[in-house]
Amino acid sequence: MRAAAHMCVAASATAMLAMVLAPLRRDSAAVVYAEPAQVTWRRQIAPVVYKNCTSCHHDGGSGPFALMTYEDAKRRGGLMKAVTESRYMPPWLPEPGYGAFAGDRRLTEEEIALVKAWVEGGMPEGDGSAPTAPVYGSDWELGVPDMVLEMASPMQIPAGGTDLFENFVLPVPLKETKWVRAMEIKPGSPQVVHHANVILDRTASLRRAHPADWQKGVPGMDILVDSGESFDPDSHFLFWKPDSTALVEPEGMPWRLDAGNDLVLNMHLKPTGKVESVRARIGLYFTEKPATEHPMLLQLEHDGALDIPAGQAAFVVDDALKLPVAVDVLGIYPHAHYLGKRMEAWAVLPNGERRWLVLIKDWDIDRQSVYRFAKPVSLPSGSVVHMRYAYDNSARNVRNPNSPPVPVHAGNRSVDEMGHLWLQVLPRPDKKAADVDARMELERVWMENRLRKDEKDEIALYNLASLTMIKGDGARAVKLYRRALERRPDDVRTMTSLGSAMEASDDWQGAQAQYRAAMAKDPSYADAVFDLAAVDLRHGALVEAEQLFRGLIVAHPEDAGAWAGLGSTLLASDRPAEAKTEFESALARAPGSFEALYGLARIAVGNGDLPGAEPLLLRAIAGRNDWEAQRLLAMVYAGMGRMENAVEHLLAWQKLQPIDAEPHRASAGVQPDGADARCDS
Amino acid sequence: MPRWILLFAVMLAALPCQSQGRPEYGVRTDGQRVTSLEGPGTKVVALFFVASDCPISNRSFPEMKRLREEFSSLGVRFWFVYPNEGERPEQVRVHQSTYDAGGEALLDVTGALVRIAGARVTPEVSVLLPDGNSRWRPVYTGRIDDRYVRIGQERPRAKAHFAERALASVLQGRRVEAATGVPVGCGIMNPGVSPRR
Repeated sequence: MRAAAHMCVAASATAMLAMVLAPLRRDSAAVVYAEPAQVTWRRQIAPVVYKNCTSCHHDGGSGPFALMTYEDAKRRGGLMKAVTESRYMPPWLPEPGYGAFAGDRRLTEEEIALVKAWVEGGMPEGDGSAPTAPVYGSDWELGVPDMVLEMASPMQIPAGGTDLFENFVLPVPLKETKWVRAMEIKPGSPQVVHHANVILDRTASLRRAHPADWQKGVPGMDILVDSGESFDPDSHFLFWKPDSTALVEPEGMPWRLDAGNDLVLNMHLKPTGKVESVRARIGLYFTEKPATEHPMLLQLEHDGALDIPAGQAAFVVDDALKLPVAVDVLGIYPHAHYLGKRMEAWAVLPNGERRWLVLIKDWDIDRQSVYRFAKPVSLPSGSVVHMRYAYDNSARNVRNPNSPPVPVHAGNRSVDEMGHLWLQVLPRPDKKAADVDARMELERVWMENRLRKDEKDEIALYNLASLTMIKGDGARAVKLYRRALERRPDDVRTMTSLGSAMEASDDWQGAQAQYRAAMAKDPSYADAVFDLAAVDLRHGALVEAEQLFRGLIVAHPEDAGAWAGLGSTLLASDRPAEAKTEFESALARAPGSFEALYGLARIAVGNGDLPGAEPLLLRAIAGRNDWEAQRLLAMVYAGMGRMENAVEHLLAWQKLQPIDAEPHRASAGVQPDGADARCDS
Repeated sequence: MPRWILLFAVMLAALPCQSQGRPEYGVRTDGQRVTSLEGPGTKVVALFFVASDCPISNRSFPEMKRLREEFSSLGVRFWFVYPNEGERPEQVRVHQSTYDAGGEALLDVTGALVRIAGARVTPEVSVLLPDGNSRWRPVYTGRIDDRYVRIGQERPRAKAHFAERALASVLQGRRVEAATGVPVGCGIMNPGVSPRR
């Protein structure tokens, strides 16, 4: 028997379980079957376990027990057989053949058969050399991080009860922008934390929304954060599950972290039977190289249609999104709560070809994951991405959190439902549409898609209005903001944005009224105060502007914009000495503040200190290529007799205002050393 | 030949009970032998078969603790039975005090209680009544509740509380409903217990 086994190994290492048909001559009548080879730990099982199991099942890992040694595995043999046969382990939900993913954890049929044969064969250790077990350290995988963030305090997880979903805000103590090339999450108690998402909160919105409890955790399965005024879509999946190691971003795709950002750690916590303490840490690794590729997260959903009757076992929602640009799909994150059952996502290309993105036949929130494609899935412009989710709200669904079943709608609690499909897409360069911002186009169709499902969707209306503002169409933005206010009439941010849109469409008095209305709703809303002060400054209401900026400084002493605004107001009020002090205060907080540098330069020019103005203006222009600063610098150089420099900045001014006659007139009057300073180049 | 095997198995099962004339059910974490499951006023004995390294067993402790706290004063004596080979007394002591410090732990080294109860996995409960001969006989052995349907599939919370129902029934003198379903957990590994489990 042993000899037969060795022959079998020599013939094919993967054919251990098969009956080996002895080589026969064609004319032979006798068929001889060899004994099946004995499956042993050392020869076949340890490699399978080390490849697929021990990343979690090691001492200190997230698995509830170790499988590092023969003794460990023998003790769990029956369990290993059961959970591999049922495909509960390793955790992997996507069906094969419906999307090819990196890090596919699905065992092959042969591997499952090996485990079964080993257990049924008495779990022999075998002879020969044992494969070397992998080594798992408790240190950071990529070495000491450049920055470590930690939950403000540990959270006590009760011994029993249902799962918990909590959000912890981790403020980022940065003074300047950094690019993050890798991140590692140390959950603190890996057996408690089932999965985690890190959400980048650019505006500290969750912290502001929960001033009393953001440090101890805000309950909720899914959160919305405010991404701020500028177009800055989420771009990366920052996901952790028990077998996750450091999350290293592809070359050219670090993610940006600014001063004032928060990281929100959204965690699924599972009671273990004893009181546990969780205090997660996030290690960040920076790079000096900014992003050269800019992916974006897109969402399909139809939460508005989630109205699942009690007892309904096959409730379906779907969504579709037509892509306005060509993209590479890098990753996918399907998400539902406890009623989700079957999830399908696919794309139909303009030529009619159907391309699968993912199929999950038995959704399990406990084993959810982000799936990154082994190779990007290229979708041409005009492709339509589809999602179709089925839900089981019957009593037969053992995961149903409601007993007896009740009607279920979309919501943030575990007893509510969701149906989201997130895609990480990288727009492909399009030479024919080089002036089109592909991500803005994607955002536009995404928001328009939301509006098709719900014409009063205030988030879609707000975002579309913001895009419209970026494109310079203030009048249309006013209409969209007004529609957004219909559902949330007291939202001070939308009120303030409406003011900005009115100002952009030359209705500055209307803007003033909007800002005042927003302040009346929430006197602490700094954007409304700032914008009102700024419009006052621009339109000569200097007394109110000064008062508002001073109030902002008291409330937000680190707000460099408020100091610079006060300086500008004082300068406009012919109080240059006081203005200088305020500008310097602004520069102490933000050395690159354009307003402060430009204001100080104006004061220097007013004092006849042209050499003093020059470096200030050069610094100001380095941060923002502004036509007024270019004009002033040209004048400074002209005053200093440095005509060549003056022409250079006149041309820069002209370039910024090509249809304005003034820079053309000015440049015509400047002839450096008799040369012709043409301004039409 | 089959008869001999059967007889041998019966003798093996009886060995621990006959070795010193008194039954020996196991040892406490301090090494003291347990020869009696009951205490003063005990009407019912409840055995929770548990393991220090079984996640489902661990996650069932809050329910076991709740039952112990609710029924102890009603004449139920609870034991947390650690039947697995390799469980060390010190390890069990720490585990028990971590998960339910008020519970009494017992190491079932020989598998005597496993055999009496017919337990198969951890966690599992066995409710015992006196048999009239200074021994205990199981009236219910099976699932504690229905939270776990199979490995990897669980309800957010249990809908049926079998252990609680069995305890209430015996205390009220009612017939105990037979166990249903297959207990979900980690197989008991004890050299004194047939590997059929």
